[in-house]
Amino acid sequence: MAPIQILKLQNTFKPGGKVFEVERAAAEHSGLVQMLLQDFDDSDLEAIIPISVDVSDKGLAKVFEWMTHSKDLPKTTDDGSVRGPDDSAVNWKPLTFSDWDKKFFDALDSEALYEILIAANYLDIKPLYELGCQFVANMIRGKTTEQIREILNITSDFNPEEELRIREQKALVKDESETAEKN
Amino acid sequence: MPSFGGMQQAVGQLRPAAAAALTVQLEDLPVETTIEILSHLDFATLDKMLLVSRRLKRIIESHWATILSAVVEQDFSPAEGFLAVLRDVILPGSGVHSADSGILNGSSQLKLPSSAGGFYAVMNFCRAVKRWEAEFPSLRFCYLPQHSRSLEPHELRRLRSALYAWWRFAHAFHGPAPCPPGLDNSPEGRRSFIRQFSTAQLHELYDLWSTIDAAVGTRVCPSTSAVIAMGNPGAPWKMMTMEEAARIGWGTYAVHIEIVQTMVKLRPEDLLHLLVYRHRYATKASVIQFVRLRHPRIEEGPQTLTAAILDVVEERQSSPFPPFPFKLSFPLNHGGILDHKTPELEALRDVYNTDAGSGVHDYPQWLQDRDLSMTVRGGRLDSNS
Repeated sequence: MAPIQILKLQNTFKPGGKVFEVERAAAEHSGLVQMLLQDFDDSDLEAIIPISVDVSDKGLAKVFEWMTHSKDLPKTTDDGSVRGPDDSAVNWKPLTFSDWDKKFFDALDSEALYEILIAANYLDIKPLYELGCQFVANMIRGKTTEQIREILNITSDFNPEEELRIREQKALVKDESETAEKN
Repeated sequence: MPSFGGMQQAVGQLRPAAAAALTVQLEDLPVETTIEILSHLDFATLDKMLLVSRRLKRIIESHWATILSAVVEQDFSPAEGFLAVLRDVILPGSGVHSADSGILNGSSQLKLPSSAGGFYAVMNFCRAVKRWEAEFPSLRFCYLPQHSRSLEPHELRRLRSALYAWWRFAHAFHGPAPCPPGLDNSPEGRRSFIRQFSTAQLHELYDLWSTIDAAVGTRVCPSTSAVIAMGNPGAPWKMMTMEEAARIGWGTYAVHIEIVQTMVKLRPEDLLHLLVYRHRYATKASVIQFVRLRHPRIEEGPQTLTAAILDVVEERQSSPFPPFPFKLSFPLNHGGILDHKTPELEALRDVYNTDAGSGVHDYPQWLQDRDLSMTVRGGRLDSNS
């Protein structure tokens, strides 16, 4: 029997999750799927593979969209090495956004971005997880503290004195002229 | 008037409107994801994150070693130099080292100690390095205003590399802390420390050191003659009397040089403080007080870095390479930390970057005489003493 090329995955976190059909080569980006593939015979894989993560089917669809588009990219394996399509070792390269990746991430709404980070972490999809984190970092890079709070949906829980103390702690070159003048 | 409209347009293109509306529920993400996101930031933004919320501050404080490892690769290269300062100066005895593979393949495996106490010391060091980066161009091009520009990323890397070397030398040999065990604060001890750097690196270090020397001599303690030449800014029609100039200025000729040569022994962060906040010190006495406070034994002798660099470059003239072709004289508008004028000269940098560790053998007698003349001159802060 030819090896199974299409995997069926279903999120069982909530009842009624959609069954996704994902190409095996795409699904292998996931460390979790790699583990399952090692542990089960092909006959087991014809059945639906359950996964359980707190994201919506919409978010999961985005994750599988990225995986399917990137199915030919080298895969990160469990031992940390990176493998090419023919399973040969590939040198680790820092990840960069392809034009397609850029469009993919730019088109996301806040909820989908959040769910991609959660799902990529759970499914152990290293490149997508890293790109997602990098994308969030780029969102806040160079922004003011107030802007960062807005982007990250955080309300400051520092009281003014604390904030002042941290700012003073951060003062790069301490202003000691006043003490010197007083003495 | 430069066109700000054009600039705004360019900025607008970099940050599409869609990105501005996008938010992330960071507080709901697992801690490991927050750490991963923080590791992708530049240092300036990471520093701002300390002020965003208590939870974020706590995460950064407890996982700073992991987060900073990635940031160091990106913002503080060469990482070896950065770690050497941490190991020798900022966190001595805490076992800072770089894992063998980490730096080479870019997967950032720097081993930083994870104690919370070290965190603020390291952050302050990082901030000081970034501030030096920001201040340096204005000091470097002070006499060459027509060539003034910001530094290219690879020039900034050279600057940082020189800063790291200076940080370590100053800590070991300029005090106020005693010379660390295993090092010897003698002319030969200092030369042997300096020999770990290649001639190309020494050229860059000398550029930095000359720039600092000039900046301290003009911005922090201008000579009495410079004060006279500047005149009285409040009343330009009024001649400044000699007494007035002497009250403001820091001596003339040899006395001024001695003061500057003493002042530059301050630790890099303290010198930075003086360069940035000099205007807040109304009198010479208040500057001197600050200096003595930060470095009680500073007047015991002048700086020793210049002699150590010149000696080692000199003794390498008989090395397998042809003599070092660049004059150790700054300011020039090229060379040193800055790029050379031509690609051919730039290629020589690689040639002279391979001789680190060499030069112990033929130390000429006449150079030893120079050591002697350097050591007899005393340190001095006050032009009247």
